[in-house]
Amino acid sequence: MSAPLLQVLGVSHSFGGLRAVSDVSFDLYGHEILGLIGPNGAGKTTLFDVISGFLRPKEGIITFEGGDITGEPPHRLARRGIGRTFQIVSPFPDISVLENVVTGVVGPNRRVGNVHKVALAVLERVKLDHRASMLARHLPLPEKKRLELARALGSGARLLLLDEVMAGLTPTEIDEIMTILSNLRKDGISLLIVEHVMRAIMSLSDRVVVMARGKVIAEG
Amino acid sequence: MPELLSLLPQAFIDGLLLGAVYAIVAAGLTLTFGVLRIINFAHGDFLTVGLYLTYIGATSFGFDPYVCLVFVLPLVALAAAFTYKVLIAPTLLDPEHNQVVVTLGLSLILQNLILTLFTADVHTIPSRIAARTLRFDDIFVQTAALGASIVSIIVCLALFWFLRATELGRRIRAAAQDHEAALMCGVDVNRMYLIAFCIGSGSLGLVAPLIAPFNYISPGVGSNFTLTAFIVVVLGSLGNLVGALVGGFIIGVVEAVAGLTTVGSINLIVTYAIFVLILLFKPEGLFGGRRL
Amino acid sequence: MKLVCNLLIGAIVAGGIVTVLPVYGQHIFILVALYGSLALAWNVLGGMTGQISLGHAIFVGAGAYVATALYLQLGVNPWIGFVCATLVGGALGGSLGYIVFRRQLSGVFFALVTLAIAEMARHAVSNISGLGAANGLAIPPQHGLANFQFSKTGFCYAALALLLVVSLAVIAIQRSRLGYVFRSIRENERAAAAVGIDVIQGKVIAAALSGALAALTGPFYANYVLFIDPESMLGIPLSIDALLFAFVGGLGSLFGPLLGAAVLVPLTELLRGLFSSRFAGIHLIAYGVVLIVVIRVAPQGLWGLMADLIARRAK
Repeated sequence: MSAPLLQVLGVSHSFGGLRAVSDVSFDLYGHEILGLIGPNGAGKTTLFDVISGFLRPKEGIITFEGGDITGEPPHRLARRGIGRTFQIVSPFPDISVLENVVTGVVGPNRRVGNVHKVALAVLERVKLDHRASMLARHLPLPEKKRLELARALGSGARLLLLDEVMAGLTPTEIDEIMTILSNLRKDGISLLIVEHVMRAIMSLSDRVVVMARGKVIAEG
Repeated sequence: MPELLSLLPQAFIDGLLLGAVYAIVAAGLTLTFGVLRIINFAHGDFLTVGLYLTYIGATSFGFDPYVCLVFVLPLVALAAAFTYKVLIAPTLLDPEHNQVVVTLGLSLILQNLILTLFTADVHTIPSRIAARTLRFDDIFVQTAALGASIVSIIVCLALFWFLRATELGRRIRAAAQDHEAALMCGVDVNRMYLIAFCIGSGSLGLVAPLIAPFNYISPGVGSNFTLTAFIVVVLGSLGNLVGALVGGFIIGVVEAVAGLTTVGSINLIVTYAIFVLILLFKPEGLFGGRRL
Repeated sequence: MKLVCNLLIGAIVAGGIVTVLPVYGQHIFILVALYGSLALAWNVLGGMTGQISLGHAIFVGAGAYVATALYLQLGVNPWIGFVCATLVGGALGGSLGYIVFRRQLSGVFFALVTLAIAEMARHAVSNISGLGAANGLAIPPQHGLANFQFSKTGFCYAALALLLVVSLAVIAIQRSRLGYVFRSIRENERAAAAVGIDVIQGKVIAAALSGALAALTGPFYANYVLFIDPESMLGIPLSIDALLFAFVGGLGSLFGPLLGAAVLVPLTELLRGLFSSRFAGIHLIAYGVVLIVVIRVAPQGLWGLMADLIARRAK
């Protein structure tokens, strides 16, 4: 077994007196889709916020590609190759779809060839290229979610954290996204997915971590 | 230097009296901005409106300024309600800067409407009820100013108690902290915001007749208070009414004492410097707590 | 590229118009170019990055006083004064931005701090005799390119050149990675951070650039009017003008602020001419009404309305 891509070791976080995440540990390997399931309030989104740098854990260590990333701010994690989507879908509403992805491409501030070309290629991967010039706020919900995905991909993410990306989608739309996600895995991107849609997460995930009340209660 | 020291006690007292006015103006703002997060750049202009209503009452009808309270307070509260319904409520969910600009526009309108109607002449309205000046050794205190200070302390403490201990106050705080949760508990969020805004801005209708006897009246007088009021609110921590009281006194005393040692209007710089320092080192204010 | 070409064509046309304008018209032309430059500079921070400044006069005033003081007291050439002004403006903007944004305070605190600093500067300068105090500083008239003092027509071209410089700078910012950084901050800070954008650094840079560009208008005004004082260079009305022209013209568009200045400056001069001093405040009442109307009814401003109209005609 090669070294894990992401290691979460003994991570805990609390808000005031409330323990949201308690001694959570798991590994995620390259080319893997890891599902994170559990009831509402189990601490999944808090864990996401910790891993993606929006919260600093009270205890614990997180490593990515062998390096300690505990407590690093979100923009630095993005530059390392960790991308995410948000529970409340968050495209940049008043700029075009293409410009959304271009922002993702130039965000990490690294050398990229033809920025627009790269962005268009990403849009093709998520099947949004026909919407390139539309303002993001005018997109229907499933396409907004694909746009968020595209933007994270544009920033060169090797690990994608997807927070309930299928919420509010019809079964057909869920199937579409599932195809896109498994294609991503084939392209070498690892995914950590929080999801409530059971059939999706069960068929997509290589492994699953179950959380309840802030703790990991099962893995496999 | 010795002459300055002898002037210090009077300056200190003047500062406390001035500070009490800052405190009561800031009290309303800490309610609307600190609790409700409504940005109202026309806050001070409600005071100006109240002052000119008092002026009309005094000059056209011969009422004593304190008597004018009877109609000035309800009229200013009404103006606050109107402002909330027409300007504030529609922008509550908009980006912040919409409220800044809309209330800025209101401030421009109010100030210059008053300028056009009343000219830039400066007025004072002495009161027949509180016309004396008390003397304690070398310190002179106008009874009108002292009265205003006492009322200011009472109002700040009363608002503090109102927010903490009454049912209505609790509902207002609930509505401000979490709309959805409050709605689920049966709190009429819109109505709570309206009531709180009217109390916060309408309170200036109480302040105006109180300070009319010893504060000059001109179209820009209220808006001069607006920036200082924001500074007091930040210094005393957002939403904290005791903080507004303490912060007001601090700023008042600092300005008055600084006025002793400096020429011209330099003492005002000290207030702005305090603001910058607070933002740099303690943005949560003296009484901590709420994130900015 | 097309935009830059249009801009240059517009500049040439404007240059041509200058030759046929009467003296008063030339004065309005210069004011429009100056206020337009200021509004464009304000918009880098306001419209592009979403941070509202209520004290942009501080940059204009800093630029004006630094350049003028250097000239009057140390004989420093006004052209170098321009460079100093822009450096001071940039440093000031960056510092103010850093004070507020590093703590991730909400935007209203930036608005308040810019207002407070501008007022602080106004009171300070009013009491410093070395800077002319409340009476201001007068610049001795001395025509010549070296002194940056020209004929009226000359100033028109100089103002046009300033406007061109600021416009090109704004276009360059918009097109670069910075433009994307600024706009993403305006749109959604969390999402911006999630794609690798350092939001705090972005805001500070935006404030610095906005201050640097705004500061250029100060020395220009000083050499044109040959007189500066705290009221005109650091007063709240100037700050409100910057904000007003940008809003009315259209925050979200690149040249909306210029359009706002082009419409409102002549209008204001007209209104001021019509009413006596008793009604001095009337144009300000109009400003207040316009601000409210724009926010509630047409947030995309005049430029946006124009663009909509053209799009509809095209259908």
